[in-house]
Amino acid sequence: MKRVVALLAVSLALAPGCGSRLLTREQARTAPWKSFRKAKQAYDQIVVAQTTAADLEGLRLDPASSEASTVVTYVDVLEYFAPNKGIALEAADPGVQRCVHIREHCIAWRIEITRRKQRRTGMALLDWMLFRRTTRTSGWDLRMLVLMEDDLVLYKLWSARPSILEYRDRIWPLGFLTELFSVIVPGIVNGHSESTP
Amino acid sequence: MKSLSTLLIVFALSSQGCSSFLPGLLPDERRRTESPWSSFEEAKAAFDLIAIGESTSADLRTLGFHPESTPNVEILTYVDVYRRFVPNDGIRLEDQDPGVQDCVRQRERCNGWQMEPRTERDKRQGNLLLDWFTFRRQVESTGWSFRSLIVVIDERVVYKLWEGNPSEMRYADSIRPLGPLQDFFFTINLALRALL
Repeated sequence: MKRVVALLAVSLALAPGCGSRLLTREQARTAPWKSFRKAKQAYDQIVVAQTTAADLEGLRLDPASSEASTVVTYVDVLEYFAPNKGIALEAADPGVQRCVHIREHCIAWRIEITRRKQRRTGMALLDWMLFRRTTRTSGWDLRMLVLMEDDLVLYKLWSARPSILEYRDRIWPLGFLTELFSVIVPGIVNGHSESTP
Repeated sequence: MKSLSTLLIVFALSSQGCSSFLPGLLPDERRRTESPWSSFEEAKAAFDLIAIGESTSADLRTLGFHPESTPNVEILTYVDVYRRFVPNDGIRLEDQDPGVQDCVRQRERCNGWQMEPRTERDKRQGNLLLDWFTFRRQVESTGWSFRSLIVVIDERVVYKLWEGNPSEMRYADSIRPLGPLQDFFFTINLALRALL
């Protein structure tokens, strides 16, 4: 019986499909959208001179319902669109100029949605014993700027990284024994001692 | 048996390049930002096929620079493009390429598509035991990176720019004469602080 259990455990650990038992970590600034496409669709529903603050609440873009949304001042807007003398405010959209002109009466929301998912792939036993760790990081970013006057949208702008995909493959031929002495000497891993004074 | 183990340890310690004696026993780490290219030359060759004023969004999709088909392509606003080319008071927009000036004039119809594919590898070298006991760690870092910015107005390329490093190679050599005991009292200090 013992042999059967051991055999099962080993087969499970060695199975290539064991990735599902490996660690998956997901990070997101609270946003209701699971995909970039859905988030961008929400942005596309904003219509300048038509959409109101209430509509934005409906889209869950307001600072009260999303921690991805921040209220910024007209000074931040000015700093973004005209950061130096080489960049004239007059080059910006009339909506932006209006926002700067009416100063405190302009309401600006900066919405930054980031989503990241880290998934370890590969053989569970090798990962568990630190022999080999393969990490796949995927995600997306969407940044929006919405300017409003009297609860009506004056201007909107977006930028994004619709798809992020990165891989990291770390091989430690001696497994969990590799950095045995680095535990005693904190911070030294790749020849760089960082945490020591 | 004992003498054989001792002999092996002595040989490993005295060996100049233990990794050649026991190949592949030192750690190796690779990091990669996903892209359609496996080398700097491939990325540059694809970039060179982009023709200003001629290439369209569909061409960029084929060449691997389109944000909808290739991961890690960042879509910048015209303001981001503007700020990049006019970073301070001393630089005028008029001094920039007509494509960039056009981008600023067209405002929201213009976007910058930026990507930076890169691969990095940190390979530890040298004597296995010296590395393991943290007496000496030699790390060879290699890789390449290619950063491109393509300015697009209404699906047509009006400007392009690239920078990059075809072959990065760095060495780090850290010697700690006392090995694991080097920061012994620092470790004790950390442990005490954690306890208190």
